Order: sequence, then C-alpha cells, then structure tokens
Amino acid sequence: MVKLQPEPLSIAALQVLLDNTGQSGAQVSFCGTVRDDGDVCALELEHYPAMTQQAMQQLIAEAKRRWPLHQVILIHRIGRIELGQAIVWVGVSSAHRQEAFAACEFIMDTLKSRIPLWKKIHYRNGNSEWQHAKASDQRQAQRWLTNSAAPCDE
Amino acid sequence: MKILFFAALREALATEHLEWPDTADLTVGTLRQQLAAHSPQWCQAFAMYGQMCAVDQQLADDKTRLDNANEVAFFPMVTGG
Repeated sequence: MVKLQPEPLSIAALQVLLDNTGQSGAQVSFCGTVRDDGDVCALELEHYPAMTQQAMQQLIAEAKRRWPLHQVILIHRIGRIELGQAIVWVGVSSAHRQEAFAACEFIMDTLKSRIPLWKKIHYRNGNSEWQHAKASDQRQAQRWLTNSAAPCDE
Repeated sequence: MKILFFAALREALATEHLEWPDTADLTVGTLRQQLAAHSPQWCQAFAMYGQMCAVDQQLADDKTRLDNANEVAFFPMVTGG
C-alpha cells in the first residue's frame, strides 16, 4: 500500500493495518518527523504528481523482490508539515525480523535518493529555502547497490 | 513533447513547463544543453538545480534517448523522507 496525502498521518491506524493475521513474526516501522534544526517552523513538500506514487510502488516491488515480505505500507505527506509532525511512515511485516529491518532501511534510503519529492524549509522569521540533498543520504542509498549490503539468501 | 521543471529549478527558471517541438536524435544530455543555452540565468539554474531527470515518469540519465518521449522532467536532487 502506497499513499501520498496532505493530511496528518494517523500512525496508530497504520500500525493496525500492518498486521493482524498472526502470519507475521516481525513488524518494523519507521517514522520520519519534522526536526527543528534551528528556527525551523515547518516544511513544505513538493512532488511530481504524475510520477511519485508509481515510483513508490516500484520501490516497494523492489523490496519484495529482495526479501520475503508479507506486507509493506509507505505513506508520505505532501504540502505543509508543521514542526514535530510525521513526514513519512513505512511499515514492513515478515516472518522474521532480519528481513523486516533490512527492507525498512532499504525503502527509506532509496526513497531519499530516487522518489521525486523536495523539501522547502520554512523558518520562524518568515524566510524559506530549499533543502540541499545530503551526500550522506546518497551514500546510504549507494550501499544497497553493493553486494556487501545485499540481503542474505538463507 | 512536454518538459516539466520542479522545486528549486522551477523557481530559478520561473517556468513550470514548456512544449518542445522536435525530439529526433535528442538525448537527455543534449536537451539539457539546449535548454541551458537559453540564457546565462538558465545555464546557472541547470548547473545548480537540474541534476536529475525523468523521461515519461521514469528516472533517466544523460544518455537516455528521447525519440518517443511524451514528457521529460528536470529537477534537483530529491530530498523526501
């Protein structure tokens, strides 16, 4: 399940959606929130409407090819997001924890380098600027392309 | 062919989209060069904010050919998540 939404995320409801059948032995989720890096009051998320959702679906399909996952939910806010609110939530369920941890991390790392979303930072003094991409985020995504970070085959 | 611009690139160009007449023998790289040649401001905007590209909503690189493309988008490095 993939969704883009301007409304605040209801994380408790998402967690309930993730599993309930008793089939999964592991559920891992990650929530990214708006952090105050110094006078930040909000973020504004722009995206490429014709592409974003299908790129998120492709990302989930890739995670499911790499690991035996039961369920993946990926929700991203768009528009204005206030300080402390959730920007993104990803939840993964699987039989065992290793693949759920790995897939959750893979999805977040890859989302940050491939999904057409851009953050504009709004400051308390009324100024705003586009967030610069971080080299560390690119490195995090790159490591999934190398064998050393590939999932184990057991 | 429709060309779209997003985020900091859209603001720097003061343009959301435009129509491009001819795609024969074009690649993403040559199209970017032709767009950047529009003015010094456009040249600088593409250098700073035009690093990524999608062709028909799939990520592409400078070598991607545009022969049958309907939509090309240029944008800065993505910063979601």
